[in-house]
Amino acid sequence: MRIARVTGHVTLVPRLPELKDGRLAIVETLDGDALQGHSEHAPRATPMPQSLVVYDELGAHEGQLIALSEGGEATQPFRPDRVPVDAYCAAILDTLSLKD
Amino acid sequence: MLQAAVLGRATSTRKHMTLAGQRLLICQPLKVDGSDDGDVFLALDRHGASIGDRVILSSDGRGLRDLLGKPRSPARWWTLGIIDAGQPFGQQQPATAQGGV
Repeated sequence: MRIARVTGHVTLVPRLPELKDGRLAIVETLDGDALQGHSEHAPRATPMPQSLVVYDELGAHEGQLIALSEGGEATQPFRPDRVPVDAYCAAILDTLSLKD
Repeated sequence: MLQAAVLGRATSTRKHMTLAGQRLLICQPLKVDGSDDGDVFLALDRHGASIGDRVILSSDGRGLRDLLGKPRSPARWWTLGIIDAGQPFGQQQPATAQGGV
């Protein structure tokens, strides 16, 4: 699970019936540099590696950090249904304690 | 499986139910010579690895789901074990006399 920060949300109309009650959050993934500067919100030298749309049932709002599950693991929570999701918000992260 | 350095820990209260009670380690995967190898990510840990340790990670999601007995867990990476501190990084096997493999 990668670490990502929520930067916005997407609403779909019409909506796939399988995507029952989840919201779609836009997130940007954090790499090592971003995490090092996490506590002091140091400015970034390089752009964020990736931003993607994540299926979120936990209600993460903008600015929060989430644990981002991708690929096959992203569909596991929906078992036995088969849902076309490849990025899933597995957790909303409260604290990150990093080696200083 | 990958070799990774433990950079820190993450805590979460609002999470998928199958992650309850699991420790989340922030890991930096490493190449054989110890240099960084790709994105930082979170791994589940059951061995009590702490910041600064080196661990062996497995990406076998199915194995983890069986281990946890939770078929719906969205987690994939988990620690197989902690590398002994004294263990140097992957030394290359000395090439055999005739130019080796």
